[in-house]
Amino acid sequence: MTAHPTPVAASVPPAGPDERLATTSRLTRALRRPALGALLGAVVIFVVFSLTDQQHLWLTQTGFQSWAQQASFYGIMAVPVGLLMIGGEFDLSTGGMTGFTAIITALLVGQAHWNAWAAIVVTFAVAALIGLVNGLVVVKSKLPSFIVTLATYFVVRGLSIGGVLLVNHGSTNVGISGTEHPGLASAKAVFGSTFAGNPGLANGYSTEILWFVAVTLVAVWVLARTTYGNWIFASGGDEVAARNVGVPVARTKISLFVTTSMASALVGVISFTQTSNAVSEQGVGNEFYYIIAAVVGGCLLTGGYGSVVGAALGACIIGMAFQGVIYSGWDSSWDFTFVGAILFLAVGVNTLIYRRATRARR
Amino acid sequence: MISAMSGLRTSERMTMVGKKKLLVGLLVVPLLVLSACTSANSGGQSRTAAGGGVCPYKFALITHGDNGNFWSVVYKGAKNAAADLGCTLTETYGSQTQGQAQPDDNAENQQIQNAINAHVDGIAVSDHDPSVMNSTLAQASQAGIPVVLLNAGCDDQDIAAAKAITCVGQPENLAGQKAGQRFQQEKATNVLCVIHQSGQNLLDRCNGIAQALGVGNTCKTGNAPATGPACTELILSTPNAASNPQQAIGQVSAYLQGHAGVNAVMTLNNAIGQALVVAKPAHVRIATFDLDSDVQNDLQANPPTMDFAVDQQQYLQGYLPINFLYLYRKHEGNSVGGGTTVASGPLLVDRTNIKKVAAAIAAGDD
Repeated sequence: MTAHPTPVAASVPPAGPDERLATTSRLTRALRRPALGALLGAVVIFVVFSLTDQQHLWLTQTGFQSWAQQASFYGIMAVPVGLLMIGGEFDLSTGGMTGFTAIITALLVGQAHWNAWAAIVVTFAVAALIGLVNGLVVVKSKLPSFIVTLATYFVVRGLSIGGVLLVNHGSTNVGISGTEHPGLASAKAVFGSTFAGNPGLANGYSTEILWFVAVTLVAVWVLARTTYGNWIFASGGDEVAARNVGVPVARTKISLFVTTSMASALVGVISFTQTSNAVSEQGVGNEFYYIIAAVVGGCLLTGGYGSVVGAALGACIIGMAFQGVIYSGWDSSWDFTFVGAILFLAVGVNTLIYRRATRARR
Repeated sequence: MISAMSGLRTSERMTMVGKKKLLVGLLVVPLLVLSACTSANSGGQSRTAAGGGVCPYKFALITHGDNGNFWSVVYKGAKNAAADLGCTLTETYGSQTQGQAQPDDNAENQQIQNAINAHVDGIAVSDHDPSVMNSTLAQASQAGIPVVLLNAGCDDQDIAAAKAITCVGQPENLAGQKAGQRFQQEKATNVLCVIHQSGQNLLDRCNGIAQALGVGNTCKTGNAPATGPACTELILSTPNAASNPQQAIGQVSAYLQGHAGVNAVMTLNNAIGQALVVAKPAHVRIATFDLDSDVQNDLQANPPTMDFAVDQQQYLQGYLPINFLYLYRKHEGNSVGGGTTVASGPLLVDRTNIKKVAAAIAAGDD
């Protein structure tokens, strides 16, 4: 007969190091990063399109500029929207705001003949004010930001239609009249131009791409290296706990709303300087694509978790999806289906990686 | 052939709203209240009864549109017609209210019912959803109220089912054919037809181009051949292409990069046409449906950056129905159109006639 095991012995864990002290492998740690899944998703999509590309353009500068510009359009917004989502809130006014701010600049430059730089400053100021109102209302009223910013969206959309018709001779399309537009050329050079034209790409790359990179880098630095970055995670993770340990939750959230609004103004200014034109309906509906990019990139809809790089990669995936289906020469009547399948593939890869990584933790 | 939707969907969605309407709209007051306060800010100068005619009739104008760029011109046409004849016009601004993405067909149907109950002398109406509205409109003629359709519902079956006199609009297939003939003349016959949203009316336009080029009844999807004649459809998948033309143009440019044989692009929306002009693709002629100030500038540029535009002349879609109702009432059932559509367009606008058309647009008469 073997000896009876003592109760004490039964409760003793198997020999081994304390799990709190266990080291996780570098790979597992990398896999747990929210952006890694998005990176793999993006790589998979990129490789798929380089294989399906019928025009032999995907791996050239032409193909790169094409999807990078498309990605930038979504990415400049997806990054701040991602920050706001990590902070636990939504902003549904972003799409409408990109059109509204473009309209403001267009009216000031094209119709009131302001200096373009003054018009741009005013545009950013108006956007900041709207963001401030969004943030204050959300924080003070404790209403869901989903609803508050939806209301803002309707208001700015009405303003950019009704207001424009009042001051723009009954047309919802604001162009520029006359010939003298002080500052417009230099503003266009900064916001809505191209650079690095070369024999392989006559028109060069859109400056929009540089803005996308700049916005992403700034956001990465803020989130990873500053106290404010920690506050964003804390505010979105557990608001009450954050407040109890002294995080200024209200101020953090309000400033995030101001940021998304001002990023909308950046997109508005870029699109106006690209075409010297703004349309009332511009940007409507794009707010969902910004949120989709952030979610594809690993931001949780519930807040407190996510990554700026991921949101930027999410925007790249969306940009590649829209352009890749064209280069692949697939029947365009099925494009929506292809885009849907590609987004699903990207999110699928992302989620699979993340699950594996977190299961490994237990 | 169904042209159940107007040609200018973007403009339809551009809703002009005065401050008053905006406030009311935000409070979500029912549509009928909205319509009561909109005629106050409809913009156009009011005409006195210039025709001086004695017209004892009261006509109703009901549409699915809003009072933006496109529809304000339709309404102005109807108001001018009523003033010229001396008739009374009750306008109900469209069922598409502020913030709505799509017109509310049930609301429009109710407005038609209200007009019947009010015993108006004639109804000018956009038959935006024939399956809902045809039966209601048929009740109008049973009640002895003549009906003229405008803009939407312009095919023979719907005219018959709604028991309407006629429909004033742009037959989309005809418009496509005229554009196709123009490309044929210019020897730019490898045409890319850019579709920015779903709708049979847009397909009809592209098919018209294919028919005029003699390459079959429909415009094909897929890869454009190296040489024409050919009509190829490109269906855009970027979100809300008409309101985000730059992103949409990213797809068109990518397509053109890979299909160097294409030498003409037809866009079905003016904003997308304009964005393509800005993107300056090499070796293609650009033409578009519908005119706005940018397209006018493109047509007037030297050399023109836009080849031609297809104008559906929506002023006539307001002006003519009121006249047709008047003629029916005044002259013992005189019926224009023979049960088929009276075409308000297409008018092809290019550098040869743009000055004239631009003047009419500036006066709000086109």
